[in-house]
Amino acid sequence: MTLATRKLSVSIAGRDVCRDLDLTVEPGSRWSILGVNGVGKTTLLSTLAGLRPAQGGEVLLDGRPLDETPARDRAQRLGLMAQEDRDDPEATVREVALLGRLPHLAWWQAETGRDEALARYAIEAVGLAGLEERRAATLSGGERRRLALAALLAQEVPLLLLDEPTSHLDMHQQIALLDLLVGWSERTLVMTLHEVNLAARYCSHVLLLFGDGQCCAGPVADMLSAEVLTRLYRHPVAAIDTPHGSHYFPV
Amino acid sequence: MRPALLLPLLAVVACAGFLLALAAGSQGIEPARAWQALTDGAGGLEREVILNLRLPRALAAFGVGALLALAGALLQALLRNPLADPFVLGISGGAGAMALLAMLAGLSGIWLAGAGLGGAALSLTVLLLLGWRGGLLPHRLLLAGVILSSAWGALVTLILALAPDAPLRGMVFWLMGDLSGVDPAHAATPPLAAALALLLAWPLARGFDALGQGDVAARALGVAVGRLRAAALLLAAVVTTLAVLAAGSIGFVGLVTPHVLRLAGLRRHRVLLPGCVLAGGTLLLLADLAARTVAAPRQLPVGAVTAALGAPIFLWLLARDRR
Repeated sequence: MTLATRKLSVSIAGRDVCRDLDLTVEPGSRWSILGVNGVGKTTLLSTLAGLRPAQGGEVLLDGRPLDETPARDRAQRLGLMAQEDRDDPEATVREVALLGRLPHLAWWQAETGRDEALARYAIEAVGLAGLEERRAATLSGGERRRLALAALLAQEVPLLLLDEPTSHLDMHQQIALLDLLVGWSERTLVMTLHEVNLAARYCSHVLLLFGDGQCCAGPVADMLSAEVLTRLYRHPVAAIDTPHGSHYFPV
Repeated sequence: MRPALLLPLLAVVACAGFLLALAAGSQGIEPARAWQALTDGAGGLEREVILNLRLPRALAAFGVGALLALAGALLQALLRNPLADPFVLGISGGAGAMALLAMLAGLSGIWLAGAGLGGAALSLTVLLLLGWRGGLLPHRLLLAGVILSSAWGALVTLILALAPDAPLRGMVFWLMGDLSGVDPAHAATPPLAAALALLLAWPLARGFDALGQGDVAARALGVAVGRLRAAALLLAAVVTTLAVLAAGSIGFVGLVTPHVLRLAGLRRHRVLLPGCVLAGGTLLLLADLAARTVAAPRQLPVGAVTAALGAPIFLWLLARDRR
Protein backbone atom coordinates (compact mmCIF):
# COMPACT_ATOMS: atom_id res chain seq x y z
CA MET A 1 0.00 0.00 0.00
CA THR A 2 1.75 3.17 -1.16
CA LEU A 3 0.49 6.65 -0.51
CA ALA A 4 1.97 9.36 -2.69
CA THR A 5 1.38 12.96 -3.60
CA ARG A 6 2.14 14.62 -6.92
CA LYS A 7 2.53 18.40 -6.97
CA LEU A 8 0.10 18.60 -4.06
CA SER A 9 -0.96 22.09 -3.02
CA VAL A 10 -3.15 22.54 0.04
CA SER A 11 -4.33 25.78 1.56
CA ILE A 12 -6.78 26.76 4.24
CA ALA A 13 -8.44 30.15 4.73
CA GLY A 14 -6.17 31.69 2.09
CA ARG A 15 -2.94 30.44 3.70
CA ASP A 16 -0.78 27.81 2.03
CA VAL A 17 -0.10 24.62 3.98
CA CYS A 18 2.09 23.07 1.29
CA ARG A 19 2.90 23.88 -2.34
CA ASP A 20 3.85 21.36 -5.05
CA LEU A 21 4.56 18.61 -2.52
CA ASP A 22 5.94 15.38 -3.98
CA LEU A 23 5.90 12.66 -1.39
CA THR A 24 6.08 8.88 -1.47
CA VAL A 25 5.15 7.00 1.67
CA GLU A 26 6.58 3.52 1.21
CA PRO A 27 4.86 0.51 2.77
CA GLY A 28 5.97 -0.06 6.36
CA SER A 29 7.46 3.41 6.78
CA ARG A 30 6.44 5.64 9.68
CA TRP A 31 5.98 9.33 9.00
CA SER A 32 5.45 12.25 11.29
CA ILE A 33 4.15 15.62 10.17
CA LEU A 34 5.73 18.40 12.25
CA GLY A 35 5.09 22.13 12.42
CA VAL A 36 3.85 24.86 14.73
CA ASN A 37 0.23 25.11 15.85
CA GLY A 38 -2.03 26.34 13.08
CA VAL A 39 0.41 25.55 10.27
CA GLY A 40 -2.10 23.09 8.77
CA LYS A 41 -1.02 19.63 9.95
CA THR A 42 -4.61 18.42 10.44
CA THR A 43 -5.70 19.98 7.14
CA LEU A 44 -2.92 18.19 5.27
CA LEU A 45 -3.73 14.90 7.02
CA SER A 46 -7.41 15.23 6.03
CA THR A 47 -6.35 15.83 2.44
CA LEU A 48 -4.09 12.78 2.53
CA ALA A 49 -7.07 10.82 3.92
CA GLY A 50 -9.21 11.92 0.97
CA LEU A 51 -11.64 13.90 3.12
CA ARG A 52 -10.70 17.33 1.83
CA PRO A 53 -10.10 18.44 -1.74
CA ALA A 54 -6.63 19.69 -2.63
CA GLN A 55 -6.11 23.07 -4.27
CA GLY A 56 -3.74 21.52 -6.77
CA GLY A 57 -2.04 18.25 -7.64
CA GLU A 58 -3.26 14.92 -6.39
CA VAL A 59 -3.00 12.25 -3.74
CA LEU A 60 -2.42 8.74 -5.07
CA LEU A 61 -3.27 5.51 -3.29
CA ASP A 62 -1.40 2.68 -5.03
CA GLY A 63 -1.06 4.88 -8.07
CA ARG A 64 -4.75 5.70 -8.32
CA PRO A 65 -6.00 9.23 -7.57
CA LEU A 66 -7.66 9.17 -4.15
CA ASP A 67 -10.55 11.40 -5.24
CA GLU A 68 -11.45 8.82 -7.88
CA THR A 69 -11.42 5.99 -5.33
CA PRO A 70 -14.89 5.09 -3.98
CA ALA A 71 -15.24 6.00 -0.30
CA ARG A 72 -15.79 2.45 0.85
CA ASP A 73 -12.87 1.15 -1.16
CA ARG A 74 -10.70 3.85 0.37
CA ALA A 75 -11.85 3.03 3.89
CA GLN A 76 -10.88 -0.61 3.41
CA ARG A 77 -7.28 0.44 2.83
CA LEU A 78 -6.79 3.68 4.71
CA GLY A 79 -7.94 4.55 8.22
CA LEU A 80 -7.97 7.90 10.01
CA MET A 81 -7.92 8.57 13.72
CA ALA A 82 -9.41 12.03 14.25
CA GLN A 83 -7.95 14.49 16.71
CA GLU A 84 -10.94 14.64 19.02
CA ASP A 85 -12.88 11.64 20.27
CA ARG A 86 -16.52 12.51 19.86
CA ASP A 87 -18.40 9.73 21.51
CA ASP A 88 -21.98 8.82 21.12
CA PRO A 89 -23.10 9.06 24.77
CA GLU A 90 -24.82 5.67 24.53
CA ALA A 91 -22.34 3.51 22.59
CA THR A 92 -20.35 0.89 24.45
CA VAL A 93 -16.65 0.16 24.01
CA ARG A 94 -17.49 -2.97 22.03
CA GLU A 95 -19.86 -1.08 19.73
CA VAL A 96 -17.30 1.66 19.00
CA ALA A 97 -14.61 -0.90 18.19
CA LEU A 98 -17.03 -2.81 15.99
CA LEU A 99 -17.64 0.35 13.93
CA GLY A 100 -14.19 -0.23 12.48
CA ARG A 101 -15.71 -3.12 10.54
CA LEU A 102 -18.14 -0.80 8.75
CA PRO A 103 -16.17 -0.45 5.48
CA HIS A 104 -16.04 -4.23 5.14
CA LEU A 105 -19.77 -4.81 5.52
CA ALA A 106 -22.46 -4.20 2.93
CA TRP A 107 -25.63 -2.69 4.36
CA TRP A 108 -27.54 -5.95 4.30
CA GLN A 109 -24.78 -7.94 5.99
CA ALA A 110 -24.79 -8.59 9.71
CA GLU A 111 -21.49 -8.70 11.59
CA THR A 112 -20.07 -12.20 11.54
CA GLY A 113 -18.25 -14.04 14.31
CA ARG A 114 -15.02 -12.92 12.66
CA ASP A 115 -15.99 -9.25 12.91
CA GLU A 116 -16.85 -9.71 16.59
CA ALA A 117 -13.58 -11.55 17.17
CA LEU A 118 -11.56 -8.82 15.44
CA ALA A 119 -13.20 -6.14 17.59
CA ARG A 120 -12.57 -8.19 20.73
CA TYR A 121 -8.95 -8.74 19.74
CA ALA A 122 -8.50 -5.03 19.02
CA ILE A 123 -9.92 -4.09 22.43
CA GLU A 124 -7.54 -6.54 24.09
CA ALA A 125 -4.59 -5.30 22.04
CA VAL A 126 -5.04 -1.73 23.29
CA GLY A 127 -5.43 -2.92 26.88
CA LEU A 128 -9.14 -2.29 27.34
CA ALA A 129 -10.16 -5.91 27.91
CA GLY A 130 -12.90 -6.20 30.52
CA LEU A 131 -14.38 -2.80 29.61
CA GLU A 132 -16.33 -4.04 26.56
CA GLU A 133 -19.76 -3.20 27.95
CA ARG A 134 -18.74 0.13 29.50
CA ARG A 135 -20.09 3.27 27.87
CA ALA A 136 -17.28 4.79 25.83
CA ALA A 137 -18.18 8.26 27.11
CA THR A 138 -17.26 7.22 30.68
CA LEU A 139 -13.66 6.29 29.76
CA SER A 140 -10.70 8.50 30.65
CA GLY A 141 -9.01 10.60 27.95
CA GLY A 142 -6.21 8.06 27.54
CA GLU A 143 -8.62 5.14 27.36
CA ARG A 144 -10.66 6.91 24.70
CA ARG A 145 -7.59 7.46 22.53
CA ARG A 146 -6.82 3.77 22.87
CA LEU A 147 -10.40 2.90 22.00
CA ALA A 148 -10.12 5.01 18.83
CA LEU A 149 -7.01 3.01 18.04
CA ALA A 150 -8.88 -0.25 18.65
CA ALA A 151 -11.53 0.79 16.11
CA LEU A 152 -8.73 1.53 13.64
CA LEU A 153 -7.13 -1.85 14.35
CA ALA A 154 -10.47 -3.58 13.77
CA GLN A 155 -10.73 -1.71 10.47
CA GLU A 156 -7.78 -3.86 9.25
CA VAL A 157 -6.24 -1.20 7.07
CA PRO A 158 -2.60 -1.28 6.01
CA LEU A 159 -2.29 2.51 6.09
CA LEU A 160 -3.05 4.48 9.26
CA LEU A 161 -3.31 8.26 9.42
CA LEU A 162 -3.36 9.54 12.98
CA ASP A 163 -4.03 13.11 14.08
CA GLU A 164 -2.30 13.82 17.38
CA PRO A 165 -2.58 10.25 18.67
CA THR A 166 -0.75 11.23 21.87
CA SER A 167 -2.83 14.28 22.84
CA HIS A 168 -4.34 14.11 26.35
CA LEU A 169 -1.88 11.35 27.27
CA ASP A 170 0.73 11.45 30.03
CA MET A 171 4.33 10.47 29.32
CA HIS A 172 3.85 6.81 30.14
CA GLN A 173 0.68 6.56 28.05
CA GLN A 174 2.32 8.30 25.10
CA ILE A 175 5.11 5.75 25.03
CA ALA A 176 2.72 2.83 25.55
CA LEU A 177 0.52 3.96 22.66
CA LEU A 178 3.40 4.59 20.26
CA ASP A 179 5.05 1.28 21.22
CA LEU A 180 1.77 -0.38 20.35
CA LEU A 181 1.59 1.43 17.01
CA VAL A 182 5.11 0.65 15.87
CA GLY A 183 4.61 -2.92 17.07
CA TRP A 184 2.30 -3.37 14.08
CA SER A 185 5.37 -3.26 11.92
CA GLU A 186 3.60 -4.22 8.71
CA ARG A 187 1.40 -1.14 8.87
CA THR A 188 2.30 2.21 7.37
CA LEU A 189 1.84 5.19 9.69
CA VAL A 190 1.43 8.88 8.98
CA MET A 191 0.80 10.95 12.10
CA THR A 192 0.88 14.51 13.29
CA LEU A 193 2.83 14.98 16.51
CA HIS A 194 3.55 17.94 18.76
CA GLU A 195 6.51 16.32 20.45
CA VAL A 196 9.54 16.30 18.16
CA ASN A 197 11.44 13.82 20.36
CA LEU A 198 8.67 11.27 19.97
CA ALA A 199 8.85 11.74 16.22
CA ALA A 200 12.63 11.25 16.30
CA ARG A 201 12.25 8.11 18.40
CA TYR A 202 9.35 6.41 16.63
CA CYS A 203 9.33 7.58 13.04
CA SER A 204 11.47 6.74 10.04
CA HIS A 205 10.57 9.88 8.11
CA VAL A 206 9.34 13.39 8.81
CA LEU A 207 7.43 15.95 6.79
CA LEU A 208 8.17 19.46 8.01
CA LEU A 209 5.67 22.28 7.44
CA PHE A 210 7.30 25.68 7.79
CA GLY A 211 4.27 27.79 6.98
CA ASP A 212 3.65 29.85 3.84
CA GLY A 213 3.54 26.65 1.82
CA GLN A 214 7.17 25.70 2.39
CA CYS A 215 7.72 22.07 3.26
CA CYS A 216 10.33 19.38 3.03
CA ALA A 217 10.35 15.67 3.64
CA GLY A 218 12.86 12.91 4.18
CA PRO A 219 14.38 10.38 6.59
CA VAL A 220 14.56 11.47 10.23
CA ALA A 221 18.36 11.23 10.35
CA ASP A 222 18.75 13.60 7.39
CA MET A 223 16.04 16.04 8.30
CA LEU A 224 16.16 16.73 12.01
CA SER A 225 18.76 19.10 13.41
CA ALA A 226 18.76 21.95 15.89
CA GLU A 227 19.01 24.48 13.03
CA VAL A 228 16.10 23.06 11.07
CA LEU A 229 13.92 22.78 14.19
CA THR A 230 14.79 26.36 15.17
CA ARG A 231 13.43 27.48 11.83
CA LEU A 232 10.45 25.11 12.06
CA TYR A 233 9.29 26.13 15.53
CA ARG A 234 10.39 29.78 15.21
CA HIS A 235 12.17 29.43 18.53
CA PRO A 236 15.80 28.54 19.37
CA VAL A 237 16.15 24.77 19.70
CA ALA A 238 19.25 22.96 20.96
CA ALA A 239 20.20 19.28 20.80
CA ILE A 240 22.03 17.00 23.20
CA ASP A 241 23.31 13.60 22.25
CA THR A 242 22.18 10.79 24.50
CA PRO A 243 22.67 7.01 24.31
CA HIS A 244 19.13 6.92 22.88
CA GLY A 245 19.91 9.41 20.12
CA SER A 246 19.65 13.17 19.83
CA HIS A 247 17.27 14.94 22.14
CA TYR A 248 15.86 18.36 21.22
CA PHE A 249 14.72 21.03 23.65
CA PRO A 250 13.76 24.71 23.47
CA VAL A 251 16.45 27.06 24.66
CA MET B 1 -31.41 -8.05 27.51
CA ARG B 2 -29.83 -9.10 24.24
CA PRO B 3 -31.17 -7.24 21.17
CA ALA B 4 -31.68 -10.60 19.44
CA LEU B 5 -34.26 -11.52 22.08
CA LEU B 6 -35.77 -8.09 22.52
CA LEU B 7 -37.00 -7.66 18.94
CA PRO B 8 -39.03 -10.92 18.83
CA LEU B 9 -40.37 -10.08 22.29
CA LEU B 10 -41.54 -6.69 21.01
CA ALA B 11 -43.23 -8.42 18.08
CA VAL B 12 -45.09 -10.76 20.45
CA VAL B 13 -46.17 -7.83 22.62
CA ALA B 14 -47.38 -6.01 19.49
CA CYS B 15 -49.54 -9.01 18.49
CA ALA B 16 -50.95 -9.27 22.01
CA GLY B 17 -51.67 -5.54 21.92
CA PHE B 18 -53.59 -5.99 18.66
CA LEU B 19 -55.75 -8.77 20.07
CA LEU B 20 -56.45 -6.73 23.18
CA ALA B 21 -57.40 -3.70 21.09
CA LEU B 22 -59.80 -5.82 19.03
CA ALA B 23 -61.35 -7.38 22.13
CA ALA B 24 -61.73 -4.41 24.46
CA GLY B 25 -64.28 -1.64 24.16
CA SER B 26 -67.83 -0.70 25.10
CA GLN B 27 -68.84 -4.14 23.90
CA GLY B 28 -66.38 -6.58 25.48
CA ILE B 29 -65.37 -9.49 23.27
CA GLU B 30 -63.10 -12.24 24.56
CA PRO B 31 -59.72 -12.22 22.75
CA ALA B 32 -60.25 -15.84 21.64
CA ARG B 33 -63.63 -14.97 20.12
CA ALA B 34 -62.14 -11.87 18.53
CA TRP B 35 -59.52 -14.02 16.86
CA GLN B 36 -62.23 -16.45 15.74
CA ALA B 37 -64.35 -13.63 14.31
CA LEU B 38 -61.34 -12.39 12.39
CA THR B 39 -60.31 -15.71 10.94
CA ASP B 40 -63.37 -17.84 10.21
CA GLY B 41 -65.80 -15.19 9.09
CA ALA B 42 -68.54 -16.08 11.59
CA GLY B 43 -69.73 -13.91 14.47
CA GLY B 44 -72.32 -11.44 13.11
CA LEU B 45 -72.37 -8.18 15.03
CA GLU B 46 -69.09 -8.92 16.83
CA ARG B 47 -67.41 -9.38 13.49
CA GLU B 48 -68.91 -6.12 12.25
CA VAL B 49 -67.62 -4.24 15.29
CA ILE B 50 -64.18 -5.74 14.99
CA LEU B 51 -63.72 -5.46 11.24
CA ASN B 52 -65.33 -2.07 10.67
CA LEU B 53 -64.53 -0.22 13.87
CA ARG B 54 -61.75 -1.67 15.96
CA LEU B 55 -59.43 -3.18 13.38
CA PRO B 56 -59.09 -0.01 11.27
CA ARG B 57 -58.51 2.06 14.35
CA ALA B 58 -55.97 -0.40 15.76
CA LEU B 59 -54.14 -0.52 12.42
CA ALA B 60 -54.06 3.25 12.17
CA ALA B 61 -52.91 3.63 15.79
CA PHE B 62 -50.12 1.11 15.33
CA GLY B 63 -49.04 2.63 12.03
CA VAL B 64 -49.05 6.21 13.29
CA GLY B 65 -47.12 5.22 16.43
CA ALA B 66 -44.58 3.37 14.30
CA LEU B 67 -44.17 6.36 11.95
CA LEU B 68 -43.70 8.78 14.83
CA ALA B 69 -41.12 6.63 16.63
CA LEU B 70 -39.23 6.06 13.39
CA ALA B 71 -39.21 9.79 12.66
CA GLY B 72 -37.97 10.44 16.20
CA ALA B 73 -35.09 7.98 15.85
CA LEU B 74 -34.11 9.41 12.45
CA LEU B 75 -34.14 12.99 13.69
CA GLN B 76 -32.23 12.18 16.87
CA ALA B 77 -29.54 10.56 14.71
CA LEU B 78 -29.58 13.40 12.16
CA LEU B 79 -29.47 16.27 14.64
CA ARG B 80 -27.32 14.44 17.21
CA ASN B 81 -29.67 15.79 19.83
CA PRO B 82 -31.51 13.61 22.35
CA LEU B 83 -34.39 16.11 22.56
CA ALA B 84 -35.22 15.86 18.88
CA ASP B 85 -38.71 14.57 18.10
CA PRO B 86 -40.90 14.55 14.98
CA PHE B 87 -42.18 18.03 15.80
CA VAL B 88 -38.87 19.79 16.45
CA LEU B 89 -38.18 20.89 12.87
CA GLY B 90 -41.55 22.53 12.19
CA ILE B 91 -42.48 20.06 9.44
CA SER B 92 -45.47 18.81 11.39
CA GLY B 93 -46.15 22.41 12.43
CA GLY B 94 -46.45 23.38 8.77
CA ALA B 95 -48.68 20.41 8.02
CA GLY B 96 -50.84 21.12 11.08
CA ALA B 97 -51.26 24.84 10.52
CA MET B 98 -52.19 24.43 6.86
CA ALA B 99 -54.58 21.61 7.68
CA LEU B 100 -56.30 23.82 10.28
CA LEU B 101 -56.59 26.58 7.69
CA ALA B 102 -58.20 24.06 5.37
CA MET B 103 -60.61 23.03 8.15
CA LEU B 104 -61.42 26.70 8.71
CA ALA B 105 -62.21 27.01 5.02
CA GLY B 106 -64.54 24.04 5.35
CA LEU B 107 -62.38 21.68 3.31
CA SER B 108 -61.97 18.02 4.14
CA GLY B 109 -60.62 14.75 2.80
CA ILE B 110 -58.12 15.02 -0.01
CA TRP B 111 -58.08 18.85 0.13
CA LEU B 112 -57.21 18.82 3.81
CA ALA B 113 -54.45 16.31 3.20
CA GLY B 114 -53.19 18.37 0.28
CA ALA B 115 -53.07 21.53 2.40
CA GLY B 116 -51.15 19.62 5.08
CA LEU B 117 -48.67 18.28 2.54
CA GLY B 118 -48.20 21.79 1.17
CA GLY B 119 -47.41 23.13 4.64
CA ALA B 120 -44.92 20.34 5.29
CA ALA B 121 -43.25 20.91 1.91
CA LEU B 122 -43.00 24.63 2.64
CA SER B 123 -41.28 23.92 5.97
CA LEU B 124 -38.92 21.43 4.36
CA THR B 125 -37.95 23.95 1.67
CA VAL B 126 -37.15 26.60 4.28
CA LEU B 127 -35.13 24.06 6.29
CA LEU B 128 -33.10 23.01 3.27
CA LEU B 129 -32.45 26.62 2.24
CA LEU B 130 -31.30 27.63 5.71
CA GLY B 131 -29.64 24.40 6.84
CA TRP B 132 -27.57 23.69 3.73
CA ARG B 133 -24.09 25.18 3.67
CA GLY B 134 -22.15 22.78 1.47
CA GLY B 135 -23.94 20.04 3.38
CA LEU B 136 -26.70 19.85 5.98
CA LEU B 137 -25.47 21.40 9.20
CA PRO B 138 -27.34 19.94 12.18
CA HIS B 139 -27.13 23.02 14.40
CA ARG B 140 -28.45 25.30 11.64
CA LEU B 141 -31.24 22.83 10.88
CA LEU B 142 -32.20 22.66 14.54
CA LEU B 143 -32.22 26.43 14.99
CA ALA B 144 -34.20 27.00 11.81
CA GLY B 145 -36.59 24.20 12.81
CA VAL B 146 -37.25 25.53 16.28
CA ILE B 147 -37.99 29.01 14.91
CA LEU B 148 -40.23 27.57 12.18
CA SER B 149 -42.10 25.54 14.80
CA SER B 150 -42.83 28.58 16.90
CA ALA B 151 -43.92 30.57 13.85
CA TRP B 152 -46.35 27.83 12.84
CA GLY B 153 -47.45 27.59 16.50
CA ALA B 154 -48.31 31.28 16.47
CA LEU B 155 -50.35 30.81 13.30
CA VAL B 156 -52.20 27.89 14.92
CA THR B 157 -53.04 30.02 17.97
CA LEU B 158 -54.31 32.74 15.66
CA ILE B 159 -56.49 30.28 13.74
CA LEU B 160 -57.92 28.88 16.98
CA ALA B 161 -58.67 32.39 18.27
CA LEU B 162 -60.47 33.39 15.07
CA ALA B 163 -62.24 30.10 14.34
CA PRO B 164 -66.02 29.91 14.82
CA ASP B 165 -67.25 27.54 17.52
CA ALA B 166 -68.42 24.76 15.22
CA PRO B 167 -65.09 23.45 13.92
CA LEU B 168 -63.17 24.51 17.05
CA ARG B 169 -63.63 21.34 19.08
CA GLY B 170 -62.53 19.18 16.17
CA MET B 171 -59.48 21.38 15.66
CA VAL B 172 -58.41 21.18 19.31
CA PHE B 173 -58.84 17.41 19.35
CA TRP B 174 -56.86 17.13 16.15
CA LEU B 175 -54.08 19.31 17.56
CA MET B 176 -53.80 17.10 20.62
CA GLY B 177 -53.82 14.01 18.45
CA ASP B 178 -56.93 12.05 17.64
CA LEU B 179 -57.48 8.66 16.10
CA SER B 180 -61.28 8.63 16.27
CA GLY B 181 -61.62 10.32 12.90
CA VAL B 182 -59.63 7.69 11.00
CA ASP B 183 -61.32 6.70 7.75
CA PRO B 184 -61.53 2.86 7.71
CA ALA B 185 -60.81 2.89 3.98
CA HIS B 186 -57.38 4.45 4.62
CA ALA B 187 -56.56 2.76 7.92
CA ALA B 188 -53.98 0.44 6.37
CA THR B 189 -51.98 3.34 4.94
CA PRO B 190 -50.01 4.27 8.10
CA PRO B 191 -48.76 0.73 8.87
CA LEU B 192 -47.86 0.13 5.22
CA ALA B 193 -46.06 3.47 5.09
CA ALA B 194 -44.19 2.59 8.29
CA ALA B 195 -43.07 -0.73 6.82
CA LEU B 196 -41.91 0.97 3.62
CA ALA B 197 -40.12 3.72 5.55
CA LEU B 198 -38.33 1.10 7.65
CA LEU B 199 -37.17 -0.67 4.49
CA LEU B 200 -35.78 2.61 3.19
CA ALA B 201 -34.18 3.66 6.49
CA TRP B 202 -32.60 0.34 7.42
CA PRO B 203 -29.76 0.47 4.86
CA LEU B 204 -28.70 3.78 6.46
CA ALA B 205 -28.51 2.29 9.95
CA ARG B 206 -24.77 1.67 10.24
CA GLY B 207 -24.08 5.14 8.89
CA PHE B 208 -26.10 6.60 11.78
CA ASP B 209 -24.03 4.56 14.24
CA ALA B 210 -20.85 5.94 12.68
CA LEU B 211 -22.22 9.51 12.81
CA GLY B 212 -22.27 9.11 16.61
CA GLN B 213 -18.47 9.25 16.52
CA GLY B 214 -18.44 12.61 14.74
CA ASP B 215 -18.45 13.62 11.07
CA VAL B 216 -14.73 13.12 10.48
CA ALA B 217 -14.72 9.60 11.91
CA ALA B 218 -17.82 8.67 9.93
CA ARG B 219 -16.40 9.98 6.65
CA ALA B 220 -13.11 8.22 7.30
CA LEU B 221 -15.12 4.99 7.58
CA GLY B 222 -16.47 5.62 4.08
CA VAL B 223 -19.87 7.01 5.08
CA ALA B 224 -21.22 9.65 2.69
CA VAL B 225 -22.28 11.94 5.54
CA GLY B 226 -23.90 14.63 3.38
CA ARG B 227 -26.08 12.18 1.49
CA LEU B 228 -26.92 10.30 4.69
CA ARG B 229 -28.16 13.47 6.40
CA ALA B 230 -30.19 14.57 3.38
CA ALA B 231 -31.80 11.12 3.13
CA ALA B 232 -32.59 11.09 6.86
CA LEU B 233 -34.18 14.54 6.68
CA LEU B 234 -36.34 13.72 3.65
CA LEU B 235 -37.44 10.41 5.10
CA ALA B 236 -38.23 11.93 8.50
CA ALA B 237 -40.17 14.73 6.83
CA VAL B 238 -42.34 12.37 4.78
CA VAL B 239 -42.90 10.01 7.70
CA THR B 240 -43.84 12.81 10.10
CA THR B 241 -46.21 14.39 7.59
CA LEU B 242 -48.02 11.09 7.01
CA ALA B 243 -48.43 10.57 10.75
CA VAL B 244 -49.73 14.10 11.31
CA LEU B 245 -52.18 13.90 8.41
CA ALA B 246 -53.53 10.60 9.71
CA ALA B 247 -53.96 11.51 13.35
CA GLY B 248 -52.88 15.04 14.20
CA SER B 249 -49.97 15.96 16.46
CA ILE B 250 -49.55 13.09 18.88
CA GLY B 251 -46.67 13.93 21.16
CA PHE B 252 -44.28 11.88 23.22
CA VAL B 253 -44.19 8.64 21.15
CA GLY B 254 -41.55 9.99 18.78
CA LEU B 255 -39.43 11.49 21.53
CA VAL B 256 -39.49 8.75 24.07
CA THR B 257 -39.68 5.45 22.14
CA PRO B 258 -36.10 5.59 20.78
CA HIS B 259 -34.77 6.51 24.23
CA VAL B 260 -36.65 3.71 25.96
CA LEU B 261 -35.30 1.20 23.43
CA ARG B 262 -31.74 2.48 23.74
CA LEU B 263 -31.92 2.19 27.51
CA ALA B 264 -33.27 -1.33 27.06
CA GLY B 265 -30.21 -2.24 24.98
CA LEU B 266 -31.20 -1.52 21.36
CA ARG B 267 -28.51 1.08 20.78
CA ARG B 268 -27.39 0.23 17.26
CA HIS B 269 -29.66 1.54 14.55
CA ARG B 270 -29.95 -1.80 12.77
CA VAL B 271 -32.00 -3.00 15.73
CA LEU B 272 -33.19 0.38 17.01
CA LEU B 273 -35.11 1.28 13.82
CA PRO B 274 -37.19 -1.94 13.61
CA GLY B 275 -37.56 -1.76 17.39
CA CYS B 276 -39.02 1.75 17.04
CA VAL B 277 -41.61 0.53 14.53
CA LEU B 278 -42.72 -2.28 16.84
CA ALA B 279 -42.55 -0.42 20.15
CA GLY B 280 -43.87 2.93 18.89
CA GLY B 281 -46.76 1.16 17.20
CA THR B 282 -47.58 -0.86 20.30
CA LEU B 283 -47.30 2.16 22.60
CA LEU B 284 -49.78 4.16 20.56
CA LEU B 285 -52.05 1.13 20.12
CA LEU B 286 -52.27 0.67 23.89
CA ALA B 287 -52.54 4.41 24.51
CA ASP B 288 -55.45 4.61 22.08
CA LEU B 289 -57.06 1.60 23.72
CA ALA B 290 -56.84 3.41 27.05
CA ALA B 291 -58.06 6.65 25.49
CA ARG B 292 -61.29 5.08 24.24
CA THR B 293 -62.01 2.76 27.21
CA VAL B 294 -60.85 4.42 30.45
CA ALA B 295 -63.49 7.16 30.51
CA ALA B 296 -65.96 5.48 28.11
CA PRO B 297 -68.20 6.56 26.53
CA ARG B 298 -66.10 9.72 26.52
CA GLN B 299 -62.91 9.60 24.49
CA LEU B 300 -59.72 11.12 25.85
CA PRO B 301 -57.14 12.77 23.58
CA VAL B 302 -54.66 10.01 22.85
CA GLY B 303 -51.70 12.41 23.07
CA ALA B 304 -52.36 12.90 26.78
CA VAL B 305 -52.48 9.14 27.30
CA THR B 306 -49.18 8.51 25.46
CA ALA B 307 -47.43 10.85 27.87
CA ALA B 308 -49.11 9.30 30.91
CA LEU B 309 -48.06 5.83 29.74
CA GLY B 310 -44.63 6.66 28.40
CA ALA B 311 -43.24 9.00 31.05
CA PRO B 312 -43.20 6.46 33.92
CA ILE B 313 -41.64 3.76 31.70
CA PHE B 314 -38.95 6.16 30.57
CA LEU B 315 -38.16 7.44 34.07
CA TRP B 316 -37.99 3.89 35.42
CA LEU B 317 -35.52 2.83 32.72
CA LEU B 318 -33.42 5.96 33.28
CA ALA B 319 -33.23 5.28 37.03
CA ARG B 320 -32.26 1.66 36.36
CA ASP B 321 -29.47 2.51 33.89
CA ARG B 322 -26.16 1.97 35.68
CA ARG B 323 -23.70 1.62 32.83
